[in-house]
Amino acid sequence: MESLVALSDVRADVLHDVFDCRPETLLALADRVDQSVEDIQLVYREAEMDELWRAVSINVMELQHTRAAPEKLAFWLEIKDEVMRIHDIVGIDLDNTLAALALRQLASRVSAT
Amino acid sequence: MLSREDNDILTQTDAGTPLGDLMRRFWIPALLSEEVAEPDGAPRRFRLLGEDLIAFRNTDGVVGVMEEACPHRRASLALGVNAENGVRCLYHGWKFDVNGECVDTPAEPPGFSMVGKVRAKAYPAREAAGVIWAYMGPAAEEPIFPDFEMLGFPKGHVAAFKMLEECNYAQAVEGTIDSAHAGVLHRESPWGQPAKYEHEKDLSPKLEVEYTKYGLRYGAVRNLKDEGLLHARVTEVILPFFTLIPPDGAGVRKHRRMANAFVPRDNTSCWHIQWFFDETQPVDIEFRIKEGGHYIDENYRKLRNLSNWYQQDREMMKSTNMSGIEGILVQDHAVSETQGPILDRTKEHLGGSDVAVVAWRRQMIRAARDFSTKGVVPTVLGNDIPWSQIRASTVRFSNESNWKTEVPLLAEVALTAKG
Repeated sequence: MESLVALSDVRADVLHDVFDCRPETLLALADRVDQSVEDIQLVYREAEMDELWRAVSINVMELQHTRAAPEKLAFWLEIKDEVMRIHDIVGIDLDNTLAALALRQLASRVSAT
Repeated sequence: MLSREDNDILTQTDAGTPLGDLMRRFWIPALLSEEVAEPDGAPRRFRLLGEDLIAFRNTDGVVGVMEEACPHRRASLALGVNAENGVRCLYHGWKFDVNGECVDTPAEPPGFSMVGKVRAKAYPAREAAGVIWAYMGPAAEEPIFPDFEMLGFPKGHVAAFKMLEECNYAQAVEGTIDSAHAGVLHRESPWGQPAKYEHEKDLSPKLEVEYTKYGLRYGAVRNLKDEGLLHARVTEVILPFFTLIPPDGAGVRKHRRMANAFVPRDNTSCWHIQWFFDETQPVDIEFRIKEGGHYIDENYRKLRNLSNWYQQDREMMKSTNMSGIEGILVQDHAVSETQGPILDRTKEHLGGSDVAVVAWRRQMIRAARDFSTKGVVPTVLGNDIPWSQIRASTVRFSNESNWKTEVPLLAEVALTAKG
């Protein structure tokens, strides 16, 4: 049984929890995607991308609710689209290398805000 | 979450669609034997994969499945006379046998008989464990029949049920590969009161998936903290729409085994066909009907359904169970049907407990794509699946072990790494 794992944990055969969209979370996910070559590993990564999408979506919903920061909202809507794109690179294209690269670029964008 | 395109691939099953063409390569549970119980009895109309069909039992007791419309003027053959080993159209008397061969055309002028020339579109049919199965694909590609364990059980130890589920088949399948909902939707105590069963106590089981030649299996592992043990329910998911549900391992459902087939009727409804089976004792049919809420009309539609809001009882929610809906099956159908006729998977917010759903979708979509674009037939249609040995299990074990060790995968169905 696996419980919560450290961000540095890159075991590909285990489903990890993704609770937020911080840069370190994105980089850890990118590391795991890099390690994932088998179908079942990529399914676990796709499920983690789903959780990431949920975390980003929660950010978006909060910003839509408060209506306080339209620029920030626009930024997170772009991030959400990008997460969906990477999700499909993992799930449909099974291209772990490209997905990992895109996740690292995403981490840089999030980190710069 | 799925893209719009992937959602369409997963949910569209008409002929000519990637998945529709693939599904036609399988033996499909079509209707219950009881629907055409009598030789020379009334033909039964039904819809399968978007096609309007009839089934009838001929004088010799053999079942035929064919297109409902007569090839002559397209009147319904369900109106016809079923006698002397064939069904005769009520309009002009054309008669067809169980293979679809035209054997009489009495209204044609002498010398213009259509006998032996025209055919009704008919599909091979078989009966097993109370269900009539049909094969709707090309004759040359007919696969071996999937001899599931329960199909060989003695009479009385297996019972088949059928109910219309008013939503796309895929969301119905997903409802049975989602162990996390058991402790909420099916909770047999009101929310906030102590849980009654083991699987209700840990609401966030850890799910692990393993791909196999026939689809996948997954373990939902819960921590029995009081006993220092782990508890796993291992569900078998067989492409394209079968699920084998484990027994509870304790309590009233200790030995209850169940198999589901969610057969697309069309894109917005499916036939939920269930087998209950028990090697230790005959199936208690009355109990299963009550437990499932399996009360239906003559068309297999639930009496507790969307139009009467499943007769949900708010008082019951405070005193008896979480859902306020009577019957496990009705509870499952209520959540699946209220997701909409075809679930929009672009709007979901999935979590880790949905990983088996993610895995099944991905297998289905890939199988449909590979079949459509490359002609690749999935391994589940191979000749080497030991159908009768595929079995869902419930196990309790120590923290030092894991469910894959406790319930080893059959070597014949294991995939190599990149399977």
